[in-house]
Amino acid sequence: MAFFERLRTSATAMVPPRAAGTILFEVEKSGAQPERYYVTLGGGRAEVALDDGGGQPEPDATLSTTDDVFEALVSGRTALLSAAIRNDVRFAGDGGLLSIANRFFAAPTDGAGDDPRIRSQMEAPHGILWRVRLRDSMAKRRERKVD
Amino acid sequence: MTDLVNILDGNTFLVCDRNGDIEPQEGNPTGLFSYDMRFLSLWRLSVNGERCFTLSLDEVEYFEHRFFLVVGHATHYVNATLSVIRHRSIADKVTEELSILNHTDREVELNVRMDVASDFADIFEVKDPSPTSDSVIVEARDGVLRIRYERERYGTETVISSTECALVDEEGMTFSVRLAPHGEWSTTLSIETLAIGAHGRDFRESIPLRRPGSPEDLRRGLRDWVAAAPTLGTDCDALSTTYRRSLVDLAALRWTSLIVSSDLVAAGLPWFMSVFGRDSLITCLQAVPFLPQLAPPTIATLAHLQGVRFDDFRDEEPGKILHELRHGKSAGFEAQPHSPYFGSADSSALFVILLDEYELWSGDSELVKAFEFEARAALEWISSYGDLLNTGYIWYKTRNPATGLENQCWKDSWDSISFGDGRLPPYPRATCELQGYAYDAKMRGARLARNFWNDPGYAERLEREAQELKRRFNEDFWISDEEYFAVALDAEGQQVDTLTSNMGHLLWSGIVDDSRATRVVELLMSRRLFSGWGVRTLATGSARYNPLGYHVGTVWPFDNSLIAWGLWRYGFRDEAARICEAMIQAAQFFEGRLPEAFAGYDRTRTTYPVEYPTACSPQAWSAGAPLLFLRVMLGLQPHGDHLIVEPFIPPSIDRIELLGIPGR
Repeated sequence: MAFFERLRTSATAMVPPRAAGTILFEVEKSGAQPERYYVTLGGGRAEVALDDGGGQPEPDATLSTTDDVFEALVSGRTALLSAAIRNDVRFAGDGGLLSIANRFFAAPTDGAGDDPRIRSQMEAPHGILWRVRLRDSMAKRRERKVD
Repeated sequence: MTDLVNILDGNTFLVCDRNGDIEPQEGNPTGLFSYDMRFLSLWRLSVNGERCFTLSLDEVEYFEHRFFLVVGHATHYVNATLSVIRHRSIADKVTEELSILNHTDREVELNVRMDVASDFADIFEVKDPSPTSDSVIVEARDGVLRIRYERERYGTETVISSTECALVDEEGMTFSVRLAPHGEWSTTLSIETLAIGAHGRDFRESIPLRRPGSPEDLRRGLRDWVAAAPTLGTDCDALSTTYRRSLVDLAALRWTSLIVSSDLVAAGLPWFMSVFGRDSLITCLQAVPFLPQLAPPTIATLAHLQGVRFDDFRDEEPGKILHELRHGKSAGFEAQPHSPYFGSADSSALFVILLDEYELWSGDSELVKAFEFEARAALEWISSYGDLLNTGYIWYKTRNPATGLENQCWKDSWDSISFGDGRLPPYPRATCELQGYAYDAKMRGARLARNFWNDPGYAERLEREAQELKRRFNEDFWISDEEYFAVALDAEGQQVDTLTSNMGHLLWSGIVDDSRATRVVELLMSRRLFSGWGVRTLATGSARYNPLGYHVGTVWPFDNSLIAWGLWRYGFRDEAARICEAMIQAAQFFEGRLPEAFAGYDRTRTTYPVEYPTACSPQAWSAGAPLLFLRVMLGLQPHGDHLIVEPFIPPSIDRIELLGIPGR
């Protein structure tokens, strides 16, 4: 899955070096065996292994969900903790690793996931002239006082 | 409104009438709650169709109460033939030992009835009730009553059972009791609160979690907790009462984090029994010299849940420390943004400040190294996403107008930030104390970078930024004609010119130029701000001043504790002692438990502090305040491996002795 491919290359920026352990992602597809991905964290890196029936380490945490919920998480339509509260994601094991897994999922893609500075600066009435306005308003205040 | 009784153990609490019954009350969160959901909304005892009347209530511990009742209504005298004792505790589950005593020499037959219901309301639905179509499933079988709520894959359940055989129906349980002359009957009712998780079982079975043991375990735990804190010796009874009360209240508010499986402090009962970034961090800051064990799990939980993406609904940005975390169905089904919600502009700076303060006291460099990644991200948030208008300040404006917070500073009610004439400034807003915290966080971050992260270059950059911020701040926020700091700057480039308690926080942060400190202190202690009990949130004479306004005139103990700390920092020990003294005197009126806030009336007018009507109690940062007052009066400050003690004690106290201060 592209999601896990990306993890391999971009984990360093997302995961604290402290984080260590193996998270098993079980993604159920109706009518098929669940796909099982083992993500092993250590030193700020992530190793990803697809369970092909061979020996995999015992996970420290397991996150089980269906493919539609997983897709909603990957695209930022829902958040991991909300999904876990709804029991759409079943979680077992080390709670700290659940919050690490939360770091893997993207921002909403429908415009609700943009840098807030862009909008704030576009909407701000004075843009880069803000400080000029501040100086003016401070000066006016002083003048009013003198009057 | 009847007086309500609270009993709690961290994540579970129960609010009932003084006779032990739970009945719906408008505007009050009565019921049994766990993880932000109500598991019981009705729990009403009757004997032969008659309700019970309270003779006395013994609040043994915060997790254990005894209600002594008689059957029937109160008349001018009580000539009871039946006594009822309800002995209730909250530990691993809620148990109620119900005993009935026959005081006559005749045999009596009794119909003992407990009416039971649950609406599985989320705490936010209790706060703002709206009609819901949610329905519950009740199963009454084999003496066990199960009340269940299901929605899609989500499921919660209340399971009620008893040691004596009960006739169970969908609305409660009935016991047919035959009581011998002078006989006694009793049964123990158990209430379990379950939420379905992995493998179709309660979610707590799938995560390694500290589970509370028996009431005896809790009693032992509380004894150890108090014993581990420093021992206070003083001639001032009010001080020793409030100190003891604070330690016990902070123990009661311990809340088990599912993320790190250890205890931190919830913000307050009943509305805020969860993790709040600001409240948890400030409580830890107040308590570090006394209860340092609170800091690591708070730091760890907040670090684990740090913002990582942009999300308008949750006001989330990378590096930001959360505002509020909830576990109820409104967070799950995303009717509310608390999973977690990030609408606070100060928690990221406070996070770095606590990390540094904790190290100063404990010498725990491992923790500082372990959370370097998150601390750097929080510092980065301050100078990037927090600076919405690219002016070198922290600004806030919610991107979730429906359920987000308008004001994302500690004064988070809608009208808290105003001009002197009452107008409300436009957003984004940059309140002054946010800039103070940012300055302090950068200075402390620099110390951490230099001493523990082996990054002197980063330390220099942070110090440079802090100095530039201080210079800029003293220019832009200073109202030169009135000579004080504006409470905020707004998007229009205006100084928001009310006189507020926020200036005291500026002293605590150290962002105030030394030349201006005397003037700031003079105003904080002036009649416009100092009520005689403490510093008001907003000065009298402002258009929106109201002595009963939540953030516009009331006096907050936690606010005053930070102000006193600020006065100490700039050497105004006499003024600091005056605040400490007044607050400790105020605590006397509340049996040592400082409320969330009290009215801003002048002390000479009321002679006693009037409690703010719907204040949370106990509240974590009010319980933490007396600890900080003690620190300030004793002038405690760690310096390397030493502890500096420079006391300045108010005249009404002769002796303060603090033994066994935990340290490096």
